[in-house]
Formats: sequence, structure tokens, C-alpha cells
Amino acid sequence: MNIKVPNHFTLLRNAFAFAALFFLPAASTFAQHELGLHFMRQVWHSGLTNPAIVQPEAVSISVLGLRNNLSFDGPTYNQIVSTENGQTVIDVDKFVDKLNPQNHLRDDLELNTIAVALKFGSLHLSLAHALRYQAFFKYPKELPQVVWQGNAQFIGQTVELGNELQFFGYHELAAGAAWEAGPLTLGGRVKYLSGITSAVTDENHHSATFFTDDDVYQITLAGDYVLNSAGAVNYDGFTDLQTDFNFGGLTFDKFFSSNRGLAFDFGARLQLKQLELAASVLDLGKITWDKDVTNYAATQTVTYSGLDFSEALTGEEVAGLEAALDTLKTLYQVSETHNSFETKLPRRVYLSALYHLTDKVSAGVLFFSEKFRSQTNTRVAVGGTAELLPFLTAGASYALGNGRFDNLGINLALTLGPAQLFAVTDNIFAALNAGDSKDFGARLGARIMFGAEQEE
Amino acid sequence: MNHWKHIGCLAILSMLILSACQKVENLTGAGLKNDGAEFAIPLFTARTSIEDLIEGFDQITYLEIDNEGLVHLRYKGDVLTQTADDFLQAASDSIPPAIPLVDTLFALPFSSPQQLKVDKAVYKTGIVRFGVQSDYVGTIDFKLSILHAFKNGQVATLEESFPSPPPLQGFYISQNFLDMSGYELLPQNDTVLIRYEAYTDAGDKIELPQVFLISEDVYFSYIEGVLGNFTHNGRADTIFIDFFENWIQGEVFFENPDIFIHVQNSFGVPTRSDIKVFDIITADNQRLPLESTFITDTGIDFVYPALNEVGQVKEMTFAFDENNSNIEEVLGSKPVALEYDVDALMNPDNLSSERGFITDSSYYNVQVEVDLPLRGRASDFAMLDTFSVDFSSYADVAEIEFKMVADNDMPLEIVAQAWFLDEQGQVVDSLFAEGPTAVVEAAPVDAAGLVTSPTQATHFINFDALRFEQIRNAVKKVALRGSFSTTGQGSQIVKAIAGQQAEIRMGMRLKTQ
Repeated sequence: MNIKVPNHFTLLRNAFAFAALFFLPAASTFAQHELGLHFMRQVWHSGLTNPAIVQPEAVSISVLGLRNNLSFDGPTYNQIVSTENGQTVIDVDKFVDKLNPQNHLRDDLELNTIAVALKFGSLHLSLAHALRYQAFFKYPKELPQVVWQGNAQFIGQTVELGNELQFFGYHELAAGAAWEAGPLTLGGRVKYLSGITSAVTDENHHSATFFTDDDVYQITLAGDYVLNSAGAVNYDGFTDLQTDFNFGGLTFDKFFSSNRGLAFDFGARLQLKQLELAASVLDLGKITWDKDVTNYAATQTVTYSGLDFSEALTGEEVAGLEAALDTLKTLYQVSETHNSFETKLPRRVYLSALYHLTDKVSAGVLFFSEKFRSQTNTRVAVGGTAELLPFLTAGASYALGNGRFDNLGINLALTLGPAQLFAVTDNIFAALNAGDSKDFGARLGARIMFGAEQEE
Repeated sequence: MNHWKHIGCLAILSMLILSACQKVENLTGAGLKNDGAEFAIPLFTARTSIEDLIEGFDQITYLEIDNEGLVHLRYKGDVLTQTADDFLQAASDSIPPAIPLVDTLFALPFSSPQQLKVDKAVYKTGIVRFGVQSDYVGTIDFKLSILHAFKNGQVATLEESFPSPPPLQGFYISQNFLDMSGYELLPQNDTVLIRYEAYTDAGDKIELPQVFLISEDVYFSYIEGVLGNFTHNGRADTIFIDFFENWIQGEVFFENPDIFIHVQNSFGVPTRSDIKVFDIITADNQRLPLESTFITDTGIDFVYPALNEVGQVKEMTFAFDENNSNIEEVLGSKPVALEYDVDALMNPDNLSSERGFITDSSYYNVQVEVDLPLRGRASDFAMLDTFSVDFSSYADVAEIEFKMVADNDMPLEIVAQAWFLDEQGQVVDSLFAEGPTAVVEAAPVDAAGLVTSPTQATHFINFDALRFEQIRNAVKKVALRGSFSTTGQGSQIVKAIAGQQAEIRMGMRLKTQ
């Protein structure tokens, strides 16, 4: 008789890491919500927050804009990261300790390749391309607890490991139009979406529970979990999981893929002398994924009681490590189908009032709301800009949200002849003190403009 | 100048953002630090029943569950078959190939040294010729009749004419022959009358100097009468009782064991066993003869079909038990084999009045079976097994605590120990530091030996970092020893009932470094 003792805890950790692998790639990026940008009316990109915000120049060409956004709850960098013997170390126990019962991670990455805007009297037309990646991950505290601290602390308890996940990337080709009708400007954009990659949990099937029996620690996994993938995940057993999100990758090979969708932006802007009211709703649409689609479903309830050594009692050969692996594979048995699925874009709403104190100074308030899957995130901000120099405009914003009161943003726009550069962040403290922040973001952009209207 | 200040601010802002980026970038190569995780995982479940335990020991062992649900271990030997060939061949061989007929009507005695007295015999095969010596000159018409041999009511007769004197010194053997197949031989007063008639050309009846009855290839398919005593030599056989194969110590006592001798017999004659060898071989290599008057004195009389039951097979089972033998003594001594050699003696009492029959399809089968009912007691009955293990992949483990839970509704206490051995078989450590431990007590039984309620036991075995380090580095094998005692430390008679089972489960909590 020959028994190979399986390294169960390694196998177990692999199994748990199956879930963790999904969100780790996202942790290396960060960005911020688009609050300060909305107040930067002199920048063409402010129109991205409302298609009715238009520029007076006849021609604007924007190239290579970049926005990155990251917000999360739980611990900050400084709370969990330290340097020991010259090496950066993450304190897993502190990380877990600082987590909420439910935790969120939200990341947006947008690469604006080129945009062209034309003005024909009261009519404004635009055409823009962007590469966009969006990520959403909602997970319970128990998930990293089990992965990194083990399940022994949960003996006799049912642990909820269900999580919601939405990672996807797509090309966005937007055609916009705006019409100035006296004080009112109405604008809209229609956006053709071409999906690159996607990994999304089903909105109605994302639960999983994990139970460790106090008898001899038999493990019961009850799953009602469906993960839809379009070229992002290749799961062939929990010991063979490959992901290919290529998050932020600049790729044009799927510019016209069969993963298609449409989205719409609508906006309005009303100019009442010095008061300017604006409202917009963005990204009303979805992508239907039908290329390289795999639907992974773990919907069974399985109990693992260890190897069956009954044969050993009668002197027979008993199963070894291979059988343990087979058993655990069975435990994590996932069915595969190939049905198309849809992902809705996160819907965003901007409502603002801006008061132009002078031609060069304005200030206002902004209400922002985003709905991504079942989560609605709102911010309220005040902000404004001032033309400090003929070629330099600076601004600031202050927002409430994410349980923090230090969301102070700044923005700068530098105009040198027909060229304009700008940078904006909604949380300067994140930049000044990234280690204590949970909300990061910045947008950088540039444009060349021609045919500026002469000021009266 | 102010312009440059603003530009400077922009540059600083960019640097700050890049600084934030750098912080996150640092995480890419960061290590993880925690105080160690603790995992709790199931290791194995081993479930066995009385049936499983016994089925696993030996391929030829089988179980029988009686009306009370009591489990019987049964070990059967080969079926030893004896046919009538030897007897019939001997009977045929007793007929001389050439019988001189000293008179024209000759009474041939039909008996044998084995006191064979045939009332009826049926030829299966055989031919009959005649041989003569003649000095008559001319043609002789010769006729040979076996007056007590009939077929379809006709007497067996052979006729042939031949020129005389025969050229070979006056001797002649008939060219014709009589096929005796199917002829019934019905001797009268132990004799068979044979008559010959020889006629000359002139029709005169003459006597010849010598006449012989020549028989070839005679074989009878049926013989009836007083068949004498004849010994059927059986074949030696051994039954291996592997229940004790892994035994190393302790006592097992089976209450009311049996050794059965199953007989099937279609010989129509009294037959009795003649047991040459019937010995129990024990685990400590002793040879203990089964003692019984049925072995040394009386033998075992087989049932047999009566004269009006030709073709029937009679069956019987004889049991050696505690009333007619020392079976409890010999089977209570950890038997590992039963060696036996049983002959059979036909008409053992030499009764001349005992008339019987044998056909060419007659046979008897003898099969020996050992029945060990699992009703008895055992004390420290131990088994040992060794298997290889490999803990090398547990490099990150700092501490392990095993948890063992045992449920038992068998009337057997299980005492176990596992020794961790190195490459050379030297003990590095043991599972239970305090020595072999009762993993679970025997389920309690009532006065009838039946289990009244199951038992459960839980054990925690801790291996700290140092202890586990030694095991991980050195241990290559585990020797597992289990010993069993019936309820009351082997002092109480219990019954093992079908469906009774024990389950041992083990899990472990392990802390990583």
C-alpha cells in the first residue's frame, strides 16, 4: 500500500485563489470620477460629461487623452504596506482587519485616441474614438479572510463567499451633435461599441457559501455562481485557471468584433444670463457578447470529506494524491455553456448649476450619480475655475462621497496658441498622500483648436 | 515670472500624481506578510462493516448471514469427486481374457476376491470370441452360448464354421465375435452357464480337446449385487483461513464453530468415510488434529440410493461441532489452514446380505467447509500493516493538530497506533505519544451478545513545529497497528450482525508559517 499525502492546504488555497485572481490585476491601476472636468467649460473634454457642453472653436482636434479612475473601500496603502529589510511588504492581517463586511473596487480606464469636433453655426458635430475598460468587484470580507488566513476561524459557520464581478473593455466610436437654440443647447451622442474582452458574473447568480464542519472539518461548497466570459477566462479546473483581461491594453485588433453594442448620451444646457444649468445622462446602452463566449456555472452543492480510506482497513490499495485532486476537481466542477450575454454600461447622471461670476471666473455645484450593476454611487461637489492668465486657467472642486471629506480636486488648463493641455484630478490629497487615500483619479488631455470666435 | 510659477505648479502636480502611481507600482513586487494562516481540512474517512472487513481478507472466504442476522465466515475447500471408474475397471479386470471351458456346458464362477457377488451386470463394452484346439479333419460348425447373458430376451450366441484341423498347431480363434454391449449378465448361484456345440460335416456333435471363452475390452455400465468392500482413495486438500493472516498477537475465540462435510452420493452401496488427515494449522505453526470418534472409530456413513433409486444423487451434510469433537479448541487457536485427506470405504461392514449397485455414472463428492460464526470473543487481536507516505510538500506547515472521530456500532473495541518510520524502518515518532490508544470502545451488548447502542470517541493529536519538522524530513513509511477486543475486553460473548459498521474520520488543522 502506498499513500501519498496530499498537500491539502495548498490545494485549498489554490481553490480560494481562483476567486482572488480575478481582482488582483486591477489593483495596479487607479483613477477618479469626473467631477472637476465638468466645471472646465473651456476644455473640449468637459463635453464628455454632457454632450450639450460645446466649444466655440470651429475645429477642435483632440489626441491621446487619458483618464484613469480607482476607488475602493477597506484599508489604504499606508495601513497595510510597509518596508521591511528593503522590501515592500503587504500586511495581510491588517488588510483583512480593515475590510468592511462587503467591499467594493471600482476602476475605469479610458484612452481617448482622437476626437474631432466641428462647429457649423449653431450646430456642433463631433466624432471620437476611445478605448475604455471598466471594472467592478464586490466581495465579502470573508473571501480574503479564507484565502489568506484560512478557514479554521470559520469552523462550524457558513461563510458567504459570493461576489459580483464585472470586467470589460471595448472600443467606443462616438458621433455627437449639439444644437444651440438661444440659451438652450441640446446635445446627444450615439456610440458604437465593439467589445474586446469581458468577465462578468450573472446578476442573479453570484452567490457561494463555504461551510467547514466541526466534526472533522468536512467542507461543503454550495454554489449558485455563473461567470460569463468573452475571451477573458479559461477555466479548466481550479488548478488550471488562465485569465487574459489585458486591462488597459491598447489594442485595435477587435475594433469591429462581433461583440457589439450601442449606447447613447443625452444632455441639455440652459444659459440664464450668468447662471448656467446643465443636465446629462450618459452611457445608456449595452454590449452583447457572442464571440469567444463561455459561461462557467458552479451551481451544485458538494461536500468533501477527505479521501476514502475504507479500502485501507482491509489491506487494499488506497487512492493517493491523484485521487485527491480528482475529488477536489469534482468539488469545483464547473459546467460550461456558450450562450451570448449582455453587459450594461454604468449609467451616469450629471446635474449642475454654474454661475459665471465674471468672464474669467465661474463657480457651481454638481450632483453626480453612477449606477453600475446593483450599486449606485453618488457625489455632490462644488467647484469652479478662474482664468489666471490668458493662457492658464486653474480650478478646484470639493466633493462629498465614499465616506470621505477630503476630496479636494484641482485642475489646470494651459493654452498655448492653438494648442491646449489640461490636467484634472478630483482628489489632490490622493496625489499628495496616495498612501492614505481610497479614491484616485486623473485625466490628462490635449487638443488643437482653430477658428476661435472673437470676443465681443 | 508668475507664469513660471503656475507652470511649476503644474509640474509639481504631475510629479505628485506620478508619485502616487509609483506607490501602487511598488506593490507589484511586494511580499505578503501575515501571522500564518490556519486551515481546517478533512483528511480521510474510513468506513467498514463486518462484511467489508471479512471480504477483504480472502477471495475464497464468503459470508453467510443466518436468520438472526448473525454473520458466518465460511471457508470452503475443493469439491473432491470420486467416480465408479476404479471400481468398474477392477471388476472388468477380474474377468480373465481367456476362460477354458472344460465341458460343453460349463458353470463359470462369477465372484471376486473382494467378495464381489454379482446379481446383475450390464455390459457397456466388450466382445466375446471363442478359441478351440481341434484334430478333426473336415469342417466344424461351432456355436457358443452364454446362457445367462441376454439382450432383448435373446441368449448371447456366437456361431462360426471353420476348417479343421486349424493350421496353427490345431488352434483356432474365431474370426467372428459377439458384441456384448447392452447384454445383461444374470448369474445364477454365483455362476454363469456357458455352453458350446461343435458339429462335424456329417452332423455329428463332438467335443473338442480345448475350448476357450475369450473376452476383450469388457467394461460394465452397471453392476448389482454384493459388491464387496472397496476403498476409494480421496485427494488431500487444504483450506486456508486468511482471517488471521495479519494476526500478530491476541486471542480470538469463536463460539460454536463448525466444520461441515458435504456429501453427494449416487453409489448404491453403503460407503463410509475413512479420514486419514484432518488437522488444523495455527498461526503459530502448530498442527492440531481434529479429534472425534467419527474420525478414529465410527467414520461417517454416507447416504446412498436404494436399489429402486438408481440414478438418484443423495446428499447429506455432516457437522463436526463442539458436541462430537474438540473443534472449539482447535478453531479457537488462531487457525490459518485446515489440511484433510478423506478416503471412502465401500461396504465397510462386509455384510453379505447388503446388496447394492454401481453404475458407470455413479460418483460421490466430498467438500469440507469451515464455519466460523462471528459470535464469540476476542482479546487484543491485532493486525499490522505498513504503507509509504511523503510529507515533503508540507514545507510551509508550522503546526498540525489531527482530529480523529470514530463511530462504532460493532461490538469490537479498536486500539490503534501509527508509527512514523524512516527509510531504514526506524521509528521516528508515533501518532499517539502515550502508546497504542483505544480509538473507540466496543459498542455495549446485551446478554444475548447483541449491540445495544453505538459508541463515539474523539481524539486530538498535536504536532508542534519541531515534532512535525522531524516527521516531514525523515518519515517515509507509516506502520499502522490495530487491535480488536470484543466488548468487555474480550471477556464477553458477542454477535457480529450484518450491517454493523465502524467509521473513523480524520481531519486536521494546520498552521502555516
